[in-house]
Amino acid sequence: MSMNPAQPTTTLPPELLPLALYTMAALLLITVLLMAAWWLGAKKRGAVKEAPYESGVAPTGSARLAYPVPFYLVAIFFIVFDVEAAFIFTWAVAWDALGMAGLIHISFFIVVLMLGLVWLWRKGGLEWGPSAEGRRSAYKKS
Amino acid sequence: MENGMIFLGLPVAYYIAMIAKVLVVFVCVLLTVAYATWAERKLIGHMQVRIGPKRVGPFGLLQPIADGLKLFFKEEIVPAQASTFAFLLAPLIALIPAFIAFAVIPFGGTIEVGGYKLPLQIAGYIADQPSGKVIDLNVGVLYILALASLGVYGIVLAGWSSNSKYSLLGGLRASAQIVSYELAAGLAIVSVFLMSGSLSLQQIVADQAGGVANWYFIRQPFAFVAFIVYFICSLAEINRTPFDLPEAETELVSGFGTEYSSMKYAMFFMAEYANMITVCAVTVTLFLGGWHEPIPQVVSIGGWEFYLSWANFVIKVYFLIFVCMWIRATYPRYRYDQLMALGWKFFLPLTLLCVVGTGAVVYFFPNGFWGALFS
Amino acid sequence: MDSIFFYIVAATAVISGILVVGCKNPINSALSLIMTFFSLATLYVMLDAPFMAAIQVIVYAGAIMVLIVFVIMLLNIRIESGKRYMHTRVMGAILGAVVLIETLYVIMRPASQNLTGGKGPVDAAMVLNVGHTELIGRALFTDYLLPFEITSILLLVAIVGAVLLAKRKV
Repeated sequence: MSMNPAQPTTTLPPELLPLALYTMAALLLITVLLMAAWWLGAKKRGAVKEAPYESGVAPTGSARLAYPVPFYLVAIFFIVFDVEAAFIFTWAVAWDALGMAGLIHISFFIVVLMLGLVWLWRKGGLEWGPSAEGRRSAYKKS
Repeated sequence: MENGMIFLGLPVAYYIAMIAKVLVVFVCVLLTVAYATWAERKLIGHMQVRIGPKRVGPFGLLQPIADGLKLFFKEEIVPAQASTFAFLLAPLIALIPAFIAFAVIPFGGTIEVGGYKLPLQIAGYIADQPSGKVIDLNVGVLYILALASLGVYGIVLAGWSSNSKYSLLGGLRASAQIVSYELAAGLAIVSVFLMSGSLSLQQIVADQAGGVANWYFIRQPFAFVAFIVYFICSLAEINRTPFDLPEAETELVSGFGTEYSSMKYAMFFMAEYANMITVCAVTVTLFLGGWHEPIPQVVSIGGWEFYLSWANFVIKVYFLIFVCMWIRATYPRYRYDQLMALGWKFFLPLTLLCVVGTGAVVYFFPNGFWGALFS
Repeated sequence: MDSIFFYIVAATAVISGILVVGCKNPINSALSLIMTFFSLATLYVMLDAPFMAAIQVIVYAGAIMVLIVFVIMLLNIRIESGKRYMHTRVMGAILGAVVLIETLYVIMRPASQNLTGGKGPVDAAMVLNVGHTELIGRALFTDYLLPFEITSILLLVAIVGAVLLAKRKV
């Protein structure tokens, strides 16, 4: 194989080899730790021991609660702004080639999404806790 | 250059040095994780006018080892009705990204072993030996962001699979918190991209050479804001105090880790400290000049640069770890709605502003902001 | 060496893809899907497209899958119920057949019309010298400017839609 630095000799970049090795070392350590703990630890089973912890009281009801809606909203907003961030990354690396035009375009892009953020802020999409809605309506009444 | 034996296009010396490098770094990170727990207990103890661990070994120095040994002998309990596969997988998913994120960080310049130059960075190599130019992952920063975004699964899975209310609430809170702050942290880094014009950590560090005035955090006002925002948001992303709501003992027992015992519990603990080290190392690399010394060319004789480069890095990282512990000893915990409001209503708009602001400054002041301001 | 690595990654992608449909527990399906995304990201790295790989992990594995995992947890389905719907099977069979025919057509066509090996304006040396992310950025802000700005409107619509749907429920 040739050692020409301008052309990669392999499709797999050589800097990934030590990365893989490091990952392997981490995996090996974790396996050894888990095996050792499994081998050395006590093994006495019992129904009480395997019950979920609820501050010493016998567990009541299912632990599979339905998630409150705000958590979905966070996940959706996260996707939206994550995609925005991905676009911003591409501009940030190439800004010198794009110049003023690029700056104006990305500013427009960011302003549009800022408007979205402001809108959902005003709509209460960022309110947390069950009390927030009640508090606001209470303010309105008074 | 003498190549010696060649294996898959690279000299055998490269492989030996690479393996040695990986092992040394891995052991150092592990030791730092272990002794960060000791340092934190000792530090916070003294800050609260206590003594901290002192029984095991001189100054309690063997305490982390004793803690680890104790955990080996504890029983591993899988709660009834837990989803076993996800329950076992969760600590691994939490720990592995925490460890391997460190692999792309350049922790020093280059060293020469037997006439063969090596970069002090795990995922880096030198193809062109005479010039010594280091080639590393050209999306290094995104690699770190990607791994950070995977850490959330460990916590969400732990919370869901344990079949316990405390765990579920802890996992739920943690996941929403992590994704919110991940966004702000990711956008704060954009300021660095704008100044460096590259996503490669080697180039980011190389661009900050030549003294403290060239470090990114001080180059322009928006970069300083980005630095502060990035550090705070990263603390929130890895659930450090004052943002450690997922493990708020007073309300949620131990949060997502409530049902975990023995080594699996220790893994969440290790992941937290490994994450802290990684966050501090990334902050140093992106904003605080990486391994460059604050005042350039104080000592530039022979091998001194080699010792200086990684010593600089280690000192800066340890200082930031100290700051993390200091923050923990100082601030009380946030309330959950305050925490989410802070992330979405303050940090997110601020980072977006920072992106445009930094962009405008690098465009209108191509020869440096402060120089243009004071001339 | 490279082809061995490729086959390992490709096999992981296919096997985890099968597990997505095959797993009884929806959470395990979601985990398999994350694994598939990861294998795809590795393939992108091998194709000299590291930025695509990073975005694949950050956006798909890191953001979209978080939403999917949340939904699975809300719907509270632990083990898939034994009942399977007929129309989903029929639709699946039709879609599978179409994709199979398409794949066979692409494989069978003469070498002169081959889809692989085509060369665009960007080659490996350019990616290495200029950088993959910069190339995408330049293309995005010059040739594909209008779609890019429309994307911002699209994302805005996504925010509005999510809030409106959620508010009705609350």
